[in-house]
Amino acid sequence: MSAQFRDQVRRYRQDDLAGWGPKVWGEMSGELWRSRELMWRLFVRDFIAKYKQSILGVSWAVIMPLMVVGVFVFLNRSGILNVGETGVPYPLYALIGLTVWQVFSGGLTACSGAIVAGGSMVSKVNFPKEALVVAAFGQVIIETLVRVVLLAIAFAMYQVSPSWTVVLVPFVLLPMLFLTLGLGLLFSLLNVLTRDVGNILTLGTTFLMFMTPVVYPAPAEGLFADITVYNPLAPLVGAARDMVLTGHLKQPVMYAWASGLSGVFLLFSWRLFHMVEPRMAERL
Amino acid sequence: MSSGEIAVQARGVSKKFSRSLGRSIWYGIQDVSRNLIGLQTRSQTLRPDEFWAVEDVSFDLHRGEIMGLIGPNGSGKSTTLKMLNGIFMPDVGEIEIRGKVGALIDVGVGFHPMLTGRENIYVSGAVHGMTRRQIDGLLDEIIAFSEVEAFIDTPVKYYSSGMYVRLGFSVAIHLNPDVLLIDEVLSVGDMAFSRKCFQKIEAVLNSGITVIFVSHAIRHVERICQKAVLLHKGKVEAYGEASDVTKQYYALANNLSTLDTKSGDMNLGQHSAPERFKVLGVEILNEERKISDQHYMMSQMVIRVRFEAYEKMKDLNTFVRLYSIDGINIVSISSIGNGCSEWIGPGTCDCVIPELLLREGVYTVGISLSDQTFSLFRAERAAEFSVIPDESVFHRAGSSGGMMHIPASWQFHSEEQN
Repeated sequence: MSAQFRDQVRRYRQDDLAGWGPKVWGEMSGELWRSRELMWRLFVRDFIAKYKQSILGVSWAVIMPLMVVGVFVFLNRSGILNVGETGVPYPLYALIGLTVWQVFSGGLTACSGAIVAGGSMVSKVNFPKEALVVAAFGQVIIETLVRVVLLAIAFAMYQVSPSWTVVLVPFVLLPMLFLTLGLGLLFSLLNVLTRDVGNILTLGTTFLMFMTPVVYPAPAEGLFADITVYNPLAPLVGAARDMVLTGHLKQPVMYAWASGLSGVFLLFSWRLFHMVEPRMAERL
Repeated sequence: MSSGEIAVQARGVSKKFSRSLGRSIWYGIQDVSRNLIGLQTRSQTLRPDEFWAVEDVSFDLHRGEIMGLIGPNGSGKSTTLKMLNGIFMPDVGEIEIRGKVGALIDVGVGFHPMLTGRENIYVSGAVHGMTRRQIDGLLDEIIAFSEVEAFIDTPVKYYSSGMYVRLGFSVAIHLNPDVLLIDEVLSVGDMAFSRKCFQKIEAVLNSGITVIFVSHAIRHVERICQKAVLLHKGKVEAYGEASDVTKQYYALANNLSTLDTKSGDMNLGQHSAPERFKVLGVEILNEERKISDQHYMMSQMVIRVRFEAYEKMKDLNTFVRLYSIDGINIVSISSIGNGCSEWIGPGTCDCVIPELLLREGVYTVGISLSDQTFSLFRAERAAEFSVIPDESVFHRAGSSGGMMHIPASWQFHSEEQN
């Protein structure tokens, strides 16, 4: 024990957290690695707590997308909304898009509330707060898996078989997870300062969903096509859908850009989170 | 023991807070922005609306030492403890801690009401930095200590508050750290469990780990700690041997309390019939009948109550209660049997204590008066006085410790004589 005693030295000093040097990154990675068990525990805790109190349980995860898809199918059939050529039956197309989209929107909502939900824990015990955010994100992964089952049933019903590249979807989705986690880390801190964040996010993600080709294909030209070019979410959602349906990326260059951007953004917001975290404890 | 390795070192540690929420957010954004571009924050200087909550605190703690952190409310004890725990970053200075740190600052951390006791043990343990294997090994011990075996697979939502706290405490005390930080969390459960907690804490304290102990229970600090730091308004007022520091705390508490009793001690009292009877003042006098709030053990002390009766009172009696600084009622005495059968007009009642048997400390005097049928006046903090430590007095009296003295005669007999 004595050797271990000497090994573990903690030093707390202002501005030790400053900057971008390799030392800081080493410390952050070490902390993240050591908190893997804590993340798992918090994830299991939230999971049990969530479904013990609910009669419909995990089926909530599919009720929402089914309703949204229902509305869009209705709008499409009645000719109010013309989505153009989708290649597969429209409900299937919309369901794929929504399933991918909800990784982003659900993840953002869950992550952004994580620190506030942590409450007194955050101000009373020293532990890596990232664990709270990651654990919250874990809930969304579970919901997504449930939605994937729904999607599989839908495929069977329409007797459409997905491209073999569907197995690549988890990898193609990684940049989107990075982007979600990055935004989630930032918003979880902002949420401590002002509880308006929750409302802003609900509004924002709904708005973004219509601004992003989620339930309709990306338009080829016009104002909307121009906007879509600057929307990193568009290629990220599109790429996942391409992998399910055709196996060919429609926008490989944009996808690459968006992926790089998401990765860098996650690193930036993780760094910022780590820097701001002790200041947030003072405000909870 | 003090020759050992240094376990905790604080060097010129300061922490500032902002009085205004808006400004604190703005300052926070400034500081973070500077850090983001790799600059140092301007943390050494105060900006408008900021104040030092803790200022220039330094101490060394060797392995196996136990240090008390004492001081009046708002003196910066909890902030210091949170900095030691790494929850807050010091603005100035630095803290170095060697070994695994455990914090007994709150109980039931991470508990979720819907989870069973057993599940929550794992969650709370993980939050405190324990691994699954460690918790597996300690599980039986944790459950046994908490005394909630029968309900361990019931959601903690259905626990009584006592059971909840007991389970939380049990997890926290089984952390086995090298350095343990304890805030006063010991209002735990019923009396029997509370005693068990103290015993467990003392066992942990004696197991050779390094401990920093924040407490208002000065006698505990005196008894358990080797070292102590006295904080007052964020600054170190005294640092060193626990017994020396606690003496300074008594002196400080005495200065503080006279200030605040002068500002209207009688307001704290309640008259039930002010038109019939009024207490005008409570004074504490020394042997020379001079008002004094400092007394020696074994000296004469008089508690004088000045009052006025506007009607004829029958069976007027005075009750005096003495409380220690931590609110324990040490003695209650009354004039019953020596009261006055009839009274009208102004007067005084002297409670003469021929030999003050209390040891050093600050004491509060509670006063009540009543007549035959009614309670006329009641004040729990009518006055305060301090007993000044004087080793020669203690020695002469044969008092070697504790809160008070009891005169005793001592007889040594040899076996043959009987």
